[in-house]
Amino acid sequence: MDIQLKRGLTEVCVLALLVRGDSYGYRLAKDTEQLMPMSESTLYPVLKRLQESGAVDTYSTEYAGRLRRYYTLTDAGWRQMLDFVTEWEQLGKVYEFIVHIKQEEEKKRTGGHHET
Amino acid sequence: MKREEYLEKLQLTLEESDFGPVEEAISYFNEILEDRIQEEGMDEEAAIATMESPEEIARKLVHSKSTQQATSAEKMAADEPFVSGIRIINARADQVRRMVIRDRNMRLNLRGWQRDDIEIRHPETEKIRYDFTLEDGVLSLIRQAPEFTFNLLLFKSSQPNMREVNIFVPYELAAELDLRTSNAKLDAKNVACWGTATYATSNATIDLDNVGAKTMQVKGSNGSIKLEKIQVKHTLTATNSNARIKAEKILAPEALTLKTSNGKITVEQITTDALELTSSNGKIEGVLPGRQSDYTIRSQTSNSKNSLPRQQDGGSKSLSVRTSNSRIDIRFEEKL
Repeated sequence: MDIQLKRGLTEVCVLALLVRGDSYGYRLAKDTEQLMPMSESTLYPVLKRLQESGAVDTYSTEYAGRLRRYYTLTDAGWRQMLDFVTEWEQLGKVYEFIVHIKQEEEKKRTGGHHET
Repeated sequence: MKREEYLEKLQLTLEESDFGPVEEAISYFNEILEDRIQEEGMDEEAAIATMESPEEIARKLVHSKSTQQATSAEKMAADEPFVSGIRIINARADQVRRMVIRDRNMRLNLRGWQRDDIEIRHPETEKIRYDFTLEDGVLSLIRQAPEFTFNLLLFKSSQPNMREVNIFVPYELAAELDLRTSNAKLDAKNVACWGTATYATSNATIDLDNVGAKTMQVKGSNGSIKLEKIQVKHTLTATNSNARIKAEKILAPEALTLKTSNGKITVEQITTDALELTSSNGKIEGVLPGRQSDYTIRSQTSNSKNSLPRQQDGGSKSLSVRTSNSRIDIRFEEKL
């Protein structure tokens, strides 16, 4: 897969998981399993990018005598997710077009019938 | 390994690997580790055993950082471990004496073309992976076992070409063919191979049109088998279950054997010395060349009509027809 596309996909996957509510690293990594499995070390740079671009915010809360870092979806994060859906629809159209051209070409190529 | 030891090792590995500031990463992995211990009720060592190794983590983080920094698209593609898409394999036909394809849930299309080389186009993603080898004249493409199941409808429906493997070969191929898949259609057209040919799938249709081989075996289940314009040098055997078999314009000099259950068998324009048609709960019908007296016949059905004698000897060709709870309707037609 095109790396830009893949990056977009992993980011949107994480954003989508945050729609249900704020979450933390371990839970997010577990939750990706239902959508697009990512190991914790794959998830880390994704979270970091999302923070840097402002799509998610973080805060720390005390949990069981220690600090746990939570991630929360921002307005920019919502927008990124919706933009992705639009882009994907456009991609679908381009894809259909390419397949169509390919099929036409295939027809030309294998069109000549041959009797065994 | 204890937690301190693991984190220390991770820190050292990251520091050595030109990753940049490691503090934040360490606190992230420390938190993951603590959550694993608390939420899964594991002890420290067990939790660490299920974590990725410090080397693995460092490799991935550095990889992700370097791809992020890469500006040219080519550099990005080179850094990407799996680039999904359609892979194209080319081979010289004269270097292949046997072609083996083992797939699943993937449609196989075999096509004869005017070129004199072999080309295979298959999808490859992180989930759909193949092992390809060409050794001692054996070309094999084997689908790897799945690591996990993953089902996002969006991708399934929008990418039909990611669900088929296209195999192009010269019209005349001096090789054996062994193509198997499951839960998906197998479709072959305009190919004559000089060796044995095996075509198999399950829960889907097999459609062979204008195909030849030395001997041919076709195996299906729960999906119809359609054979049209098939020429073999020796024998053709097709077995199916819970679905029909239709055979038309077949030349199988030594023997043609068609077996199914709970499905109809239809034959037309068949040339063979030994025809065996077996079903159960399925009608058997068709037209055979020549006169009825040309055949030595054994036929049997139950609870239904039979157009053939149960036993007739003296014919030069053999004809065996068996079913149950269904009609046998075989007629004979002399060619002009």
